[in-house]
Formats: sequence, structure tokens, C-alpha cells
Amino acid sequence: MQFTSESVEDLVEQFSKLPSIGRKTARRLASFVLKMPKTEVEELARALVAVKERVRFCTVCFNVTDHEVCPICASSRRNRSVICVVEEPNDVMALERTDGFDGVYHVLGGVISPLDGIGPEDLRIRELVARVSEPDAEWPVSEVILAVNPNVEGDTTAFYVSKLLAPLGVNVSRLARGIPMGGDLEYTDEATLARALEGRVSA
Amino acid sequence: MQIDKVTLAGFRAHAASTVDFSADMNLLVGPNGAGKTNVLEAIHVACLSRSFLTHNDRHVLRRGSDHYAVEARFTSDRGKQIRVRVAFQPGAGKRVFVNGAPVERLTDLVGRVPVVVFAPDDQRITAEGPDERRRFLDSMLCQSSSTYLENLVNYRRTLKQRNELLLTQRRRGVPVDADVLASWTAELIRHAAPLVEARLAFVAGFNRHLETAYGRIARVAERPSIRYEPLPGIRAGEGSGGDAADDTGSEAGVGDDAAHPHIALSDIADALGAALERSGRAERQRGSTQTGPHRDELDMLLDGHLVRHYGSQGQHRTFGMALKLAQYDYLRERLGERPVLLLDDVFDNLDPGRIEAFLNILQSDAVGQSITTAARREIVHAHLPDGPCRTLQVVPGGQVEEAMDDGWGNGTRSGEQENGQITANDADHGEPETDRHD
Ligand SMILES: [Zn+2]
Repeated sequence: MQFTSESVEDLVEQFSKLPSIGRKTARRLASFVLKMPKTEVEELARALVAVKERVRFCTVCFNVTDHEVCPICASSRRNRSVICVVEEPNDVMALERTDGFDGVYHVLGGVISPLDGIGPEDLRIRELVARVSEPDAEWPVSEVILAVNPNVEGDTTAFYVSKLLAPLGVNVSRLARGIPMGGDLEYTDEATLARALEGRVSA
Repeated sequence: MQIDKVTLAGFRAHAASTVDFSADMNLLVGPNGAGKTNVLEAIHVACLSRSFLTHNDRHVLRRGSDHYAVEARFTSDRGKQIRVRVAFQPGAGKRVFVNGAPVERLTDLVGRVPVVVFAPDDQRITAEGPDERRRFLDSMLCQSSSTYLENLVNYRRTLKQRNELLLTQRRRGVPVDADVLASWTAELIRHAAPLVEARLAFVAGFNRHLETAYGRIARVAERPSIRYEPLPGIRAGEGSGGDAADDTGSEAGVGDDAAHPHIALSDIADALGAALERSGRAERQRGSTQTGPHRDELDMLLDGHLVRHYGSQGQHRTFGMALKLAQYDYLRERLGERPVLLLDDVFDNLDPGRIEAFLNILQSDAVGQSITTAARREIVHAHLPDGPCRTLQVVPGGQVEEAMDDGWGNGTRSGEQENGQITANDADHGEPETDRHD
């Protein structure tokens, strides 16, 4: 089935670029957009553009934020001597929902994966090392928790990062127990994640 | 484990077929291309989520169908019912349901319903390259241990990543970050070491099953064995030519069946690390990992001689069958459950002596249910000791039906039907079980 309009076909094309959206779903979304009131479509379009224009990366932890420094890094109630290293901004949200962590985060922006052409230089690893070795009088970093996903790419990235951090004399631990191997941090339920945080092991 | 019923839709030659099985021997007869092997494939799909003939589900899809579905009902030896449904649609992928609940990963299905397949090309295990033997080994260990399966999946993924890194390095002609390569090496060893450990333990325990199985098929004095030496000083199984007793004394050998000295996982990991280091130059040159479980060889021996080099046609045949029979015994012992037993056309080119020996095994207490395909029922019936055997006729177009008394050749249904069905004839040879002679 093909729409007899090029602009609808174009929209279908755009939708099907999104993750886990096949051609079929893309067509359903496109025909839904066709039926939406114009004002709602405009709101959607504005939100899409705004996310690219306004949202930027926190200059400290590289989480997404509307400001220069994200609310977590800016908060005086967070313990800045403990850094939890995650792959993506979504992982920060998952860990925040557990309410079991009062430290700060560092978002790598992915994991080392030669098959995807991603090496350490494509991630915020250098920035992490700089952050940890920064002689900050008020909050010297004492512990780094590697909360990457428990799959081969996450393991390898954790191994690599802990190797770089080893000479800096900080305590490096790793979320290990609780999350099933091959499981995804983002989709792990809060109770399991909270247990994993508590039961971290040294990396 | 027993299969009670299988339903195929849009699967190979079958538009829609249902087959009921008896608890003993089941014989599927019909000419080539009629779709009898497809029934075994479908059962295999329900056991391991894929066919034993192809990994590509599109090949399995019936021409003109937009999806296939296989549904099978099993009863475990303890009487538990297991219902498996596997559905595949190009583009949408494959979905598996166990007792109505979706299974998250396809690998989660493996091990619930153990299965062993005998096929005419089983002789390739001894006759051809090492990957045939690794496949045999892996298929068995994956079914008996979910940890092994998980490590194997992770090992393969890590290997792919590491090879990509080595390939990039070769292409660019500049060394990659040594710490990155070291991290992938560490991850590789982490998954490789438990694989090697499991293979060692397996070989040490499997020879006993193999020897028994070989003797039951061949009734000769030849002694079969498997030997595995993945790393210098680390091995299992007997040494070539030697007696098992001579070997047990030697330093690091796992040696004999019984109380073999256990090799620590950390020692295996160290040896793997050393082997990878030794192959450093070769892997840089070739752009791929040169050593590890993906390169393992499993030596198959008869009286200490490599079957691959010295085996006759008949010895390859017997060895292949013995491996599968031993696999059946091994899985049964490990899992406390008799595997589903599928035999695809194995009797068609077998000499009468071995047909008889094999049918005896199928009818003995050691084996529960079995499902066999044959081009002509006479091949099996001629040798069949009186005993329960259900014969099902598969006709071209994918039907299965009650077997006619006079066999497929003289049946009334000769071949042109588009859509089929499968029916059965309880060709119970009528005699009570106590009258069976072995
Ligand atoms: Zn921040």
C-alpha cells in the first residue's frame, strides 16, 4: 500500500527512521497525524525543533538539560564525591526513580562498540578522567560507580574505564548483582535497580 | 519427554497439517518431497526455535504464505504438559510462546524440551572439518546448560567486536589503543574460560556414553573415544594410542572418565591469555582472533586413530550414529528427562545388520518415544520386531494421513493434492508389551 501523496510518503519515511518503528507503524502514525487538528500538529513540530534548539548537555555530567549545568549537578544536597557513570540520559532517570542515590552522574553517551564504529574518543571518557582527577578542594571524588548495562559492550567499557581510573586512587565499583545479564538498565524495575546499587562490587 | 501433537501452518510443504503421535515408535512414510522431514523440522522448531536444516526462517516459509506457525504439545517424563508455539513473519520476526506466555529471548526456549536428531549427514561430524564437531558439541552443551548457552552467545558477540577492532587496525595500518584491545581481550577470556571448562568436563564424562552406544550399533571390538586439548597442558579424554590407565598419571591431563583432576577456571583463563598473547602477531596480520573456543578441535578416535584420517565409510556412519545415541543418553542423564528423538531418513541407506541393531535400541527401554521418517515403510517394517509402531503416511502437498495397509506406493492418494492433512494408522502389531522380543 502506498499513499498517493508525496508529502505523506515523506512523513512515513521520517517516522520509520525512529527506533522500533516499522513501515506499518510509520503509516499508522502518518495517517493519525493527517487526522490531528492543525494546532496540535504545530505543537508537536515545535516540541521536536525545540528539543534540538534548547536542550544541551550539562557541562559537568553531560546529561541533557535546558541550562548550562543540570539541576542535579547544581544541587547543594547532592554528594559530589560519588559519581555514578551511565551510558545514556535515560539511565539517569531510571536511577533517580530508585531514590537510593544521592551522588552525581556522568553520562558517557554510549559504550565502546567497534561494530558501530564507536571508540573511547567518541564517548565522554576523557571528561570523566578529568573530572575525577580535578583537585577540587570542596568535593574530591572518592568513589566512581560504573552503572553500565551488563552486556559485552558495557562490560568492556567498564573494564576500560576502570583501567584508566585505577592510577587516580579512587574507589571504582560496578553494578553487578540483580540486573540480569543482557538486561537493560533503563527497563530494570526500581526495586531491582536499588538492590543493584546497594550490592555494587569493586571493578 | 514426549511429543503428543504438532500443528504446522504455512510451513514448507504444509499449508495446514496436524499430526498426533503415539508414545512409542512413530514412522512417517512417503516419497521424497512429500513433506515428512518437514514434520521433524517443525518439531525441532518447537524444541529449539529453529530448524535443524537451516537457520533462515524464510526458507522454511511455505511459498505464498505470509507467515508460519508451529504449535506442539509435549508431556514431560514427570507428566507435566508443555505447549510451545513458534510464529514467524518476515519483517516482524519470530515469536515464541510457552504455555501461552511469550518468551523474551529465543534462547530462553532452549533446554525446556531436549531434542536429538539423527540425520543421514551425521557422518559429517567425523568426516569433515572441525566446525562440524564444534557444532555437535555446542548443540549438546547448550541444551544441557543455560549458563553454557549464555556464555556462548556472549563469547560470539565479543569475538565479533574484537575481530572488528583488529580488522579496523589492519585496514588503517595504525595500532589501536592498546587499552581498548586489552579490554576486549579480557571480556573475551571471561566468556571463553567457562566454555573451555564445560567442554573439558563434558568430554571427560561423554566417552563412557560413546563407548556403550558404539558397541550397541556396531557390535565390534573397536573402541571409540573423544579427545580434547584446547590449550597446552589442558586436556580431556584419552591420549592417542594409549590406554586410559596410562594417561591418568600424566600431569595436567583430565584423563579418565571418573575422578579427573579438576582444572581451575583461573588456570584456563591464564592459559587462554597466554595463547592470545602468543598469537598477537598473527591476529594483527590477519585482522581476526586466531585462538579460542571458536577454533577448538575435538579429536574423534577409533582405537586411538583419528577417524577423520583413517575411518572407512562404514566407520564414519557408525560413529555418527553412536555420537547421537550417546548424546541422547548424556542429555537424559544430565536433565533427568528423555529427549525427543527424531530420525530423518537414517535407515534408507543402512545395511540390514545396523538397521536391526538400531531398531532394537529404539524399541528398548532405554528409549521412549521416537519419530522416524522413511521413503518406504518396508525399510523399517521388514526388520521391526513385533511391537507398537504407529505409521503415518505423508503425501505430496503436505498431507499426513492413516497409512494404507499396502504402503504408499499403492495408496489411492497419488500425489496431486494442493493442501494436505496428516492422518495415522495405528499399525500396532497387536502384541502385548510382554511378548516383545529384543
Ligand atoms: Zn549535570
